[in-house]
Amino acid sequence: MDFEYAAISKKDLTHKMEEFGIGFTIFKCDPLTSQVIGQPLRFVVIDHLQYTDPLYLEKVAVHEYGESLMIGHKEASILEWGVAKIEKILSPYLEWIRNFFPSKICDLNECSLLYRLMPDEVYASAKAKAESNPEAKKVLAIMKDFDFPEEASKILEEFNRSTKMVLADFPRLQSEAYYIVEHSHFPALFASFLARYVFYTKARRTAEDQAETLVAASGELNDRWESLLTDVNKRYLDRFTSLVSALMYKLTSTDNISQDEASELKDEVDRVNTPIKVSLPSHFSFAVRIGNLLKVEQSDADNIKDTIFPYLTKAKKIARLTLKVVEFDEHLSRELTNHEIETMRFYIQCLLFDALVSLNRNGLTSQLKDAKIQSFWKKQIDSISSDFQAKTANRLFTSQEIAIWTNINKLYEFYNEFLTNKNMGSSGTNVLRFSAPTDSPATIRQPKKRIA
Amino acid sequence: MSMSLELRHSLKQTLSQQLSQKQELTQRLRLTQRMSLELYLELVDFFEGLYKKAKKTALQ
Repeated sequence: MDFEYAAISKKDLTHKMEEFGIGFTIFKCDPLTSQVIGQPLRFVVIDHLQYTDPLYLEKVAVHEYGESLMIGHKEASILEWGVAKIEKILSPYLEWIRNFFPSKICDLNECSLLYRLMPDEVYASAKAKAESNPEAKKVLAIMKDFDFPEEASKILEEFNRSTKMVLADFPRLQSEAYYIVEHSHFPALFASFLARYVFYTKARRTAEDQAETLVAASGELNDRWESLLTDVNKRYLDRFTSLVSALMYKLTSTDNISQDEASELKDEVDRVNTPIKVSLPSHFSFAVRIGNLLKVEQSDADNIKDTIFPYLTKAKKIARLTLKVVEFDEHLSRELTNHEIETMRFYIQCLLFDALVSLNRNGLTSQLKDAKIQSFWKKQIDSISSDFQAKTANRLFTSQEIAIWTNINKLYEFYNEFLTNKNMGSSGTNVLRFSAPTDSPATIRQPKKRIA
Repeated sequence: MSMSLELRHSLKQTLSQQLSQKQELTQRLRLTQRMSLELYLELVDFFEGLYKKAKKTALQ
């Protein structure tokens, strides 16, 4: 082995580039043929973590070297671990990877992020070059004496167990989401929100259970998540296509429609017609990261304001773009896309709904009758809506939604119906006999346990 | 010896160009989908510049 790498600092990169990892490789390529040319540029970010032993940084560089030669994460890991074993640092080194970069062990078939972002044709050229590269053959010959370390096998088993536990809950997630989009009697936009909320709570709970490190990059989880999301999305669109057509018909055929009414209708058509996939990450690992970001410390406060305030504060931060739930960098100097706006809208709704879940958990729902609380809630939602509109030039809610989201009692009513629907979905019941409560919502003190 | 005004100005300009290249690139970069060849070439250009400036370590 004989190679060089560039030692760089985080300050040379943007936050998004830091996602490439502690080590990454850039392949130069011919702009006309997309064929890989010259030596790969290997980088190690020396301050990616607060402190890293220089010997470990060298192993990261060895990994980059191996991966860029053989285009295989597993092969590169065996090379890197083999070198660590020769240097007698394998056990502490694997422990370090397990703590800081678990995905490097738990999904050995997945190449590092940049390999998944390179254009297909450049990746294909790098792969083809690896197959005939004499340097790669030389390294493979060295690796003949390197086994898959027993220590790594044990960590891998642990990851697999954790992944299985998360996967075991997917059938429940599936039936609840199906039930909401296919059978529930919620208005379309609320059904769309709740179906996504079921996915969001799964990701957030995974983050709360601190299992995110163990499931961070499991390809199987990502695949199952994405296929389920696609399926629920299709069922949602199938059910509400006729509503969209009716709204479109109303918009185009009604005479004397005022500009405000037309704009409202158009807004509603756009929103109902938005696939539910748009605001949820297609990778489970990303969803867990957002779940982690939106985690709120559970409070045992005995009054409503203290209980819901942390949720409202986070929602406000999203509306003001100071808490980023979408992929834009630190210096936003362009208009937000529809996808980004819808994503922000969704996570604001999640936090508002989470606030109610928290009220229920703390047994505080009897205080919802207090007019002061109702007015406090409405003011907060109005303020979040106005921040959202100022930053995105879009309304947070349609007028139909405003009537639900600004009225905390109405929202609580919907929350109770949601619980009924979830139970119906989980128990596999096919027919929903649903009647909305006409009085104030239930005020029974709930045990302090996780409900939604 | 202090830096001449001209040199200082040119350095400032280079740094500000690099910064805007980095920001522009990162805004177009999505971490969930493959890049277009055009964007990838810009990324390569940026990292080639960084590689040239960075401290290199040789391993044997």
